[in-house]
Formats: sequence, structure tokens, C-alpha cells
Amino acid sequence: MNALFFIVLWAYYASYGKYILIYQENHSLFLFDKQYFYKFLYFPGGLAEYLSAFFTQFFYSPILGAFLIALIFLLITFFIQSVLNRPPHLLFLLSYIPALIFLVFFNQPEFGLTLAIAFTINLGAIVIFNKLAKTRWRYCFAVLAVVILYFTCAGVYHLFWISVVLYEILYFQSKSKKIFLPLFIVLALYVPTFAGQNIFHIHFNVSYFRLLGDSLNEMPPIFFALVGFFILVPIGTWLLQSKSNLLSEKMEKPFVILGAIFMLTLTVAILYRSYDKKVNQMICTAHEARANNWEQVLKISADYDGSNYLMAYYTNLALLKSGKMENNLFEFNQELGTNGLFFTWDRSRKKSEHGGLLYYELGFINEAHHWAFESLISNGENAPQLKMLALTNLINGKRESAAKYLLKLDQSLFYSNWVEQYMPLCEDSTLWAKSEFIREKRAQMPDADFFMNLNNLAPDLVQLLKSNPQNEAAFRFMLSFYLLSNQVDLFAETLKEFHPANQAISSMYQQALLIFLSAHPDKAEEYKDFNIDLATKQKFSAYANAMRSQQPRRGNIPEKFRNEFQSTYWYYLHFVSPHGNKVITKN
Amino acid sequence: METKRGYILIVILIVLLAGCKSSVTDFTETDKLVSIDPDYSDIVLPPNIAPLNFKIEEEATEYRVDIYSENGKVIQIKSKNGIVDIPISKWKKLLAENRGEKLFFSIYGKSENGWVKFPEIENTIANENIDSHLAFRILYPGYELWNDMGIYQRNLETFEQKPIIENKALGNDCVNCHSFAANSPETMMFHVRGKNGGTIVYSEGELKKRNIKVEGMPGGAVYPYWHPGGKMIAFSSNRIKQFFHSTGDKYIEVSDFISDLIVYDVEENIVRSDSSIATKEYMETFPTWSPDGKYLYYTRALPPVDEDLKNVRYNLMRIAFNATNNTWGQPETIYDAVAIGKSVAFPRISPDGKTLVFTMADYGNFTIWHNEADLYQVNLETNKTEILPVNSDWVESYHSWSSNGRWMVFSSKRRDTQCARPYFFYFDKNGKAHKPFIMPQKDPEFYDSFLRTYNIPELITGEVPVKEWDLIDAAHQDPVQAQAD
Repeated sequence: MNALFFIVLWAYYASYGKYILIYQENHSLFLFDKQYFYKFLYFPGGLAEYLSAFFTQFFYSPILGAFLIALIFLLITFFIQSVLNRPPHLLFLLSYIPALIFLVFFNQPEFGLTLAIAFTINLGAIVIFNKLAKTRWRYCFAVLAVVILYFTCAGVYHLFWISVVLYEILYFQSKSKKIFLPLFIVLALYVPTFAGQNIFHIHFNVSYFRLLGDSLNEMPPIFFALVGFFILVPIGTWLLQSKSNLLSEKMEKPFVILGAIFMLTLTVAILYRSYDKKVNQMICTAHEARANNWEQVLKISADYDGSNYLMAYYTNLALLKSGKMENNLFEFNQELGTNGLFFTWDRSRKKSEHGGLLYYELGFINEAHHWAFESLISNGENAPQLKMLALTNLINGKRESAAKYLLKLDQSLFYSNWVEQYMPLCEDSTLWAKSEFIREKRAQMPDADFFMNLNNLAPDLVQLLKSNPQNEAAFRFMLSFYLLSNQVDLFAETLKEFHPANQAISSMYQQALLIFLSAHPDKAEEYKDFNIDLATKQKFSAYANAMRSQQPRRGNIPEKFRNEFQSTYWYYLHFVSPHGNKVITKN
Repeated sequence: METKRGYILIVILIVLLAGCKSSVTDFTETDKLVSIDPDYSDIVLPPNIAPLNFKIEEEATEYRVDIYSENGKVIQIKSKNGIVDIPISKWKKLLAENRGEKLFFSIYGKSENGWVKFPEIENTIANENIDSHLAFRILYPGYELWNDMGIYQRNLETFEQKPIIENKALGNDCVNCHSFAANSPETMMFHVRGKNGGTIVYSEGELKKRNIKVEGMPGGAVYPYWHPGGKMIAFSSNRIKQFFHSTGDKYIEVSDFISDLIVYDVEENIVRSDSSIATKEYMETFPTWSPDGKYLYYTRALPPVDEDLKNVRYNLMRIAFNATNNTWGQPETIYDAVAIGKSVAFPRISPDGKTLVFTMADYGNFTIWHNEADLYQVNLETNKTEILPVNSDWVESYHSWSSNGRWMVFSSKRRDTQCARPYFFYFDKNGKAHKPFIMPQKDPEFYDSFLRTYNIPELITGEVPVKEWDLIDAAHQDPVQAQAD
């Protein structure tokens, strides 16, 4: 049963559930460094967090990460089996319940490993306590352990002392327990007060409930579920102890088998229920984007059902980076209009994590640095942001500063290879000057400084293009912004100003230009160098005819019409754009 | 019996010999100057400073360092990795015995061809101590967001660093603008911004939490400076806005749009101001009292027009103040930075009242983001102003004097261009400033990957006597509202 349980978990987290691991690895960074370790000593529970960060680093490899998770959950189960190793044996099935409770919560990407690790350590201590038959040793261990567990696992230590009290009352026949237990409870409850005031200098609520939330009200339901389990199980087993012949030996075996099947089914059901395809897609999209796997981003996006800011943002970024923005923009969901192009700055922790990548790809290196730094502060030191800070400093020629971030990453297990690519550029100014990567990125940057807008990318793009007309990415993105915001006049103006004359334009641009020229026939001469294909003109006629004949309306679009035209700009303008179904003129 | 004694003698001799590390005797000399990091060469160091641990940045398989001076024993150190970790007790003894003397570092590196001796590094031990502690805030050098931060005190005679207050017990509220009266840890204040907002004032053994914003002030109380008597604090009250550069060396611009000065009476909990220091025409900020308390120095600029921040420039001003009846004189321009297209920030006057050091940049007053920002000194007797020979190509900004006026600490980003580190330098009797050096750390590689910045370094004469827990407790109280005069 344990082996099957392990295999199911391993298989799940190595495949469907690997997005959880990706998310957690991207939000944590374990460093082999003394200073890194010391910072975990500032709070109770720091050691559990340190171990959590240590294990989380292996999530870099989902197969290895999945193995570790399965192992931790198995260890939880194993420890409980060890504690429950009392008749009737059917009770061993209960040992899977805490691990299953954890599974439900662990599948929320932000939950992390810390609680599971703190819980496992406490369980280990409960096992040892139960194994110590000699009262003196048991009491000594309990006193020592309750202090250590508070320092290492913070609020989770409540599970230990509550269990100690229960097991001592129910299972051990010691005369001195009447004296020991009240003293033990006083000690257990005093430790956080003492440590909070004299060692950690933290507030009462934090000192008692750290790792569980800042106060009793904020504690996650998982804690109450586990406390309930740990109170009910010893009492339940104690009550059933006298009825060890509840089931005959003959009957017990089939019951155990049925129970095991039920538990495995429950495990699979929990994993199935807690799998969130959309969250999976969002996390994987961000992950693939950071790895420059733009085709993969578009593949995930094509499979995404509905509209979502993060998905739209990465989809559009992938279109830009893969060179498909000018052709395939409307083959993807653009229901969010310009809001799907970029994030506005509103001090949000989540947005700061993602928003900077677009600035980086457009050549706003300072702004990419800004977002990465804000994210580093609000999300903690993690590899994606340290990489971005290293790159932006390097591109800006701040090599000493870049080296600092690279050195930090170099103290990790899995990012040394990445560091090796860029460290020589920090150390050698000649290499830096010759680097094609640096040259390419610097060529994108604005030639003149201006203050960023942050609430609207459009004015920043205009200024960037004016200062650096060679920035192809900014040009494409600007055009997409005007198209998505129905500003066809500005689209046409920008196209004329920055697109090389006599160079063919994409059919999507042709579609928009047709609309512009329909409204401004007098401008035909000005735009004569922008050739509009016969096929586009014919499609436009077909669209106009279909509009007349099928009379589609927002919310009531015939399927035939949709299938034929939904990837055209006209369709977006009339039926999708959140900015209305009319062209927004320049003024 | 005699044989036994002989054995014992031999054993004692062996132990004693083993205890003595031998100097390198067989070596060749090189003219190549040895590179050490941090750079502790040609500096004047305080006789009470913690060991200046460093890393030798020369290729070798083994290193030896002899540290010696005129008097006392040579400190001999062996190192395999170039990290020189100087034993603190020997170091303290050597420095104590050699005030005013030279201090030498003899560095040897072993290569395939044997030991090589580099030219000696020569430093000077000053006669005067530096204040024993440095208070500073540590945080990420961020833009708008913050997370965990704290105000700390570092014992400069050892490596011990303790929190004065960390924001982890305040729901991560911002703690800032710590200030001490005349370098005294007995009289201090800092602000808390956020849910537990207010100003914590500690004086005469009493902790108070105050809300110093009264009607008519453009914003809350911001940049403080204690009156030397410890009964009043001058504050600026500013309305500040941030801007983000699209490109170039500067990432961020912070500018005042309105600012005035106020004086807060700690005992009476009263805020006073005057039309001469809270004008409508100008922005007044960065108040600093003269050591006799008779003048308030500050900086003054015309507000920005149409967010044209590059034309916001501050002059150095002063105004006479009568503490007995709280009356003010007329503002005088001490240094006309505007006339030369520059801008002054952070005026700080030496305890003897003779020298003023300020930061000067091309424009604005948030100089920590200005690479061109440098330190200048004004001789207040002659009004002669000159650049200090302690600057780099990168930011030099906030600075403060030691209580004896011989040492100064300042923030500089020269090490990695982004994070400010505290540097010290010595002012000799002739007012000459000597080469600065970074605050020593037990681990000389500490700064290489430390991503946080040191903010507002203030030298203080001892450890802050209030327990952190008491400060936390005070910060959790509701602030008492100050009254306008």
C-alpha cells in the first residue's frame, strides 16, 4: 500500500502536477552560503523554512522533485503508522489521512513545503516520544523536544505538545504524570512568550502562530484539520483498544484490502480534483516564456479556454518574440484588448513578477530592472528575478552590480551553468564590448532619456520609437497597441513613419489599412507604397457581404461567419474589441 | 627524576615552538603591488576599529601575512584561500600599543617557484578613536516597495551587529530616518510608516510615540535633526514623488514638490514653524543645527516647473535661531550652488562648528541615486568650499561626523554601483581628509553578494540603551498627536 501510494504521488507530480513544482522552485532559491543560513535564524520556524528551501531547489528537475514530495508524504504516513501501531490494525488506514489533507493544500502553488516539513519533524518527535518506555527518558525528551520544536517549527509545535499530553494520559501508566503534565503544558506555552520577547523580538501572535498565520483567525484550515486528527486519533484508538477483536482475523484482511483500495482511490480523486488546468497553463506559460520557448507558450495559449490577463500578456509577448505578431495577432484570444498587452504598475506583488519581461524585450532595460527589483523585494530572492537583475545591469554596463547578482546565483545548485555564460562579461570589459548579446540589447534601448509613464505603455513606446526608430520590437508592439485599441488612424500614421517604404506588409496590417483608407480615401496617394494584396481586398469584400447578409451582432455571431473571419482585424474591431466596435479617431 | 624533568622540558619546548608560526624566511621580492579587497592600504584607521579582514587577490597556493607596527608582537597569519582573518585580541592589542604609528601588512604568496613577497602595505593608526557604534538602516535599494528592513547598530570595535528595531514585529511597516542628538545613543528618534505609523522618540530615558503632522504642514515630518540641547528636533515636511528613467545611469528620480521646515518641541509636544523657513516660494529641506544651536542650516530650492526636475537646484542656507523665545532671523545663503549649476544636500557640521560637509549633485536632493554626487567641505570661518578627496565616480551621499570630529562616515555606491556601503575617513588636525575605507566585516567577501543597502549611517558613542522589545511595544501604541503652536 505504501509503495503504491508513493508511486501514485511520484507519477502525478512528475507529470500533471509538475506545475506546482515549477512555481515553487521559481519562488525560492536555496544558497550554499553562511549568510543565507543565518537569516533563517531570525524567526522561530526558520529551520523548517531552510529545509523547505533546500528540498524545493530540487524541483528544478520535476522527476527528482516529485520523488522528494512523494518521499515526504510517505514519511508522514510512515510516522503515523508507527504511532498507530496498536490494535486494531485496521486503523493503519487512518495514517494516510494527514498526507491526503496535505495533498489538498499542497496543490495550491503558493502553499509550499514548509508546513509539511515542520509537520514531519513534529511527527518524528511524537514517534520517538511514544517509543520511549522509561518515564524519565520520555519526560526528558518531551521537555527538550518541545523547546527545539518551537525553534525549528514555530507554531506547528502545538501538535507535538498536544499529542504528548494526550498520549501520556491515554497510553502511559506513570504516577508522576499528574505533576509532569501541568508543568509541561506551562513550559510549552511559555516558550513562545520568552523567545518572542527575548530572542526573536516579535509580536505575541507571530511568536505563537508563525508558519500558521499571524493569528488564530488567519490560521489555515489545514492546521485545524490536523489538530483535529491528532486529538481524535489517540482518543479513538484508545477507545477501540479494548475492542481489539472488533473484527475477526478472518474479516480484518478483506477490510484492510478494501480500505487500502478506498484510500488509493481517494488519493487519485484528490489529485484529480485539485489539479487546476488553467493554473497549470498559466504557470507553464510564464515558465516557458522565461526560458524563451515562445512556440511552446503559443501552444499552451492556443489550448487555453477563456481569457486571462496573464495568458494574454505572455501570448502577445510570444507573438512578438516569435515574429508572429504582425500576422497572427488575431488568431489568439484578444478579448482583453490592450489590457492583454502589458501590466500597469500598481505595486502588486504578482504583477511585479511578470510585467518586467515585456519591458526587457522591448528595450526598456531600466524599467525591466525596476520591475525585477520590486518583485525581488515583494516575492523574495529567486532565480528568475536575480537573472533579470544580472542581465539588466550587465546590459547597462553596470558590471560590478551584475556580478553581485551572478555571485548570488552561483551559490545555488542549479544555476551555475547559467552564471558561467555571463560572468566573463562582468570580469572582462573587452568581452563585454564585443558581446553580440550586449550589442543587440543595447541597440534596442532608447537613445534619449525620458520618464516612464507606467500606467500606459503607449506614450513610452512613442517616445522610444522617436528616440530609437530602429527598435523593430517596439514598432511591432506599438502597431499592435493601436490595432487592439481601435486607433486605426494612429496605426496608419505609425506604419507610414516607421515601416520601410516598398517593403511588403502583413495581411493583418493590410486589413487595418483597408479600414483606414475606406475612411480616408484622400490618403490613398500617401499610402500607395503599401501594397494591399488582391486576396485581402477580396476577403474584405466577402466580409462586407457577409456582414450584410448574415447581420452578425456581438453575442449573436453565426458560426459560419465566425469560422471564416475570426482571425481578421475586422472581426476583432466589430465583435471582440473591449474598446467598442468603432474606429477611434486620432482626436 | 631528572630524566622525567628533561622530558617535560622537551615537551614544553615542542609545544611552545609549535605555537609560534614561523615567518617566511626564504622568498623573492616582487615590485608588483598586491591587490587586496577591501582596499585597506594608505588609510588612517581608528585605534579602536575591528580587524580589517581582507582577501588577497593574487594567484598563489598559499599565503602568509605579517601585520606589525613599531611596538608589540607581529601578528602572523596563514591562509590557503587568500582570506585573511585577523585574530581580534592580537589586533586590538597591536593597535592600542601603536596609536599614531604606522601599521604594516607584509604579504607573501607561494607559487611553483617558492614564496614571493609583495611590497608592504602601509597604513597609519590614528591617535583618536572613532565612536564605538554605527547605526544604520538595512534594506533593499528598491524603488517603491519594501519588505523586511531594520535599523541596526554595529559595534565598530568588534563585528557584533544588533537590531535597534526590525520591522518584522511591526507587520513590515517601514522604519526610517533614525536620528541621534549629538552622537548620543541616549537621545534618539525614528519614524514608523504604515499601520503602526508615528514617530518614536527616546529621550531622558523615556519612550514616546508621537504624530508630528499638524495642520498646515505639506506632509508628515520627514528628515530630522536634533537640536544640540536634545529638547527639540528640526524636521522637513515634504511632498515627494518618484520618477523612473527610461534609460541611462540613473534608474530612479525622487523629487520634492513642496517642502517646509518645522521645529518639534519634544517636551511640550508642540510643532512650531515660521514663515522664513516655511515659505511658499521655496522648498526648504534637510535641516541641520549648528553645534551651538544658534543657527539652523538647511537647503532651499525653487519648486519644479512642469516636472522639469533637472532644474531643481538647492542652495545651502542658514538662519539664526533663538531657542529661548523661539524667534528666527533672516535666511542667508552660505553656498550658492545654483549659480554654478549644482545642488546641495545633507549639510552636516563638525562638532567644533568649523567645518560643514555637504553632498553636491547636478540637481535635486535625492542624491543616493545620483552617480555624480560627491562630498564637499565648507570652512565655516572662511566660507572656502572644496571637494573632499574621498569621492569616486559613483554615488557619495549621506554622511555624519564622529563625536570628536576626527572621523566621518558616508554612504558610497563605489563598490558595486547599486548598494550603498558605509565608508570611514579621517580628518586630521589640519582639516585634511584621508583615504576612506569600507566598514570591515568578519567575512571580507561579505559585501560581494549582499544585496541590501546601508542607509543613513550615523556614528554614535555607544549602544542604544533601549531594548528592541520596548521599542516594538512603543511602536504598537497609538501616537499622541502633537499640537501646532
